[in-house]
Amino acid sequence: MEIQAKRVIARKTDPTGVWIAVRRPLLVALIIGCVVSLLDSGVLTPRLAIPAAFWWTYVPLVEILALFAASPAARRSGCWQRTIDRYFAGHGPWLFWMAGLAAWFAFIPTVAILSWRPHIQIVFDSAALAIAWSAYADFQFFRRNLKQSTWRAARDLVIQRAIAWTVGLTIFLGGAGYQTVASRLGL
Amino acid sequence: MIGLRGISWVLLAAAFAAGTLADIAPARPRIFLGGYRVLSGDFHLHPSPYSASTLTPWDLMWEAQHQGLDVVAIAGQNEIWSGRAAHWVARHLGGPTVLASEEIHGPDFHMIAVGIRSTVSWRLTAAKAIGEIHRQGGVAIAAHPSAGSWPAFDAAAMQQLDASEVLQPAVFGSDSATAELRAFFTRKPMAAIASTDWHGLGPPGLCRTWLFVHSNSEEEVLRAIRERRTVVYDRGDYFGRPELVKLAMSEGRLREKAKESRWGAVSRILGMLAIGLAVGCWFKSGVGGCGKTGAGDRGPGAGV
Repeated sequence: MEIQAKRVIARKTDPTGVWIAVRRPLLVALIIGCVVSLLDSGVLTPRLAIPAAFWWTYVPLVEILALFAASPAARRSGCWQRTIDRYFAGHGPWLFWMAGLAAWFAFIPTVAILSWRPHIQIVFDSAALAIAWSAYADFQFFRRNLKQSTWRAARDLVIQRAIAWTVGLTIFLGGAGYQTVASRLGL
Repeated sequence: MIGLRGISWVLLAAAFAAGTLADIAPARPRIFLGGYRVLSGDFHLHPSPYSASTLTPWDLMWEAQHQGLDVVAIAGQNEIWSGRAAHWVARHLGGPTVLASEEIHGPDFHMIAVGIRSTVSWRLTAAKAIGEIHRQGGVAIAAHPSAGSWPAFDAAAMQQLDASEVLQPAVFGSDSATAELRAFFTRKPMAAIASTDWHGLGPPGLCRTWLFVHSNSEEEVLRAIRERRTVVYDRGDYFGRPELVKLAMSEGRLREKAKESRWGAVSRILGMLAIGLAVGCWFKSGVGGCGKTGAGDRGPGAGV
């Protein structure tokens, strides 16, 4: 009995369990799913939120792969579960941005938003702020959690972003994106 | 922190419950006018992945049905496989009438190729693209034909073009876009189309085309577009063949907006509270840290 209790306590306090690695990425996907439901139907329904959350897990997956591909320090960190967890703790800016977008479309009629011409500019400008804020948070992650020098932290951040954004944007808008790039480069 | 997280989960569960109640769509009666059945269609819906959108082809198709659409064109940008996937799922698991489609997203023009079988290259001229669409048995709709794209629609293209978007979200709040789409539509007799150009912001079917058909089938929908049996209503103005416009004007139900269940509003409010609390907890435990693990150490103790 005592041994079993100790095991339970150990499991609960174990900072290296797989749950530690997946809890934040899964919550990111769930929040994206909820935001998609609110954006697309104005209602938070599991009919849309659950499949959307499942589909959008590609975002945290791509980020995790990019993190370990870009950062030797992340690969050497010993406890990959904790590294993933700490990395995703810096996703607050993106979640804040998405929550704002969802609130905007949930409480204001879509036609009214679309009739207001600056709406696209506001989406892009606010996304730019989230990008900058998130980059700062991740820079701090590389500096403090992975104990990197300023230069190495900046390098890892740029490489991680280059990998994650290239793959992510290809999945998100590869059809028109490829045409736009190819047309400009004369390919 | 656990208390706030717990409240967030309870709110989320309550929002899901209210959202499920709001999801129960009221039965919509079929509308018949002048010997035709009137279908509601949206011919410019982009799925995810690859087309800057949020829902998979099948979820998009089912959501469109939920929004009261009878016919949809699932149109990936420069690809056809997502439209074909939605078409397959609708045929085997049920859904609205789905036309596998593509938005030919070229540098000089955008065009919806509805009811095709294989990808049409964006490198073709508009005239050649329309020729290929017709060869595959589909119809060609000029997508948001603003003045900048007019040179691409030369005489050869205009001669073959089947339809043109006369209403889509680009016209909201823009008199110039409204005038340009309407001017393009008057270049020749063609089917009037209203499309949402859906990328995941707002519901599918925000702009919809009424089709006057003899049956709800893919072939009949394509035939209706070729024969200009469509009507579009835009802020007091009608577009389409005069005899069909007259029929549409006589039926008030076509202009009625779906009434939202009160559970929808409850779900929205609870859902936003749940998301807001979850994001708040995220900040409290993570970046910028005021949680117990401190600003720099976003450690495993940081609660989710």
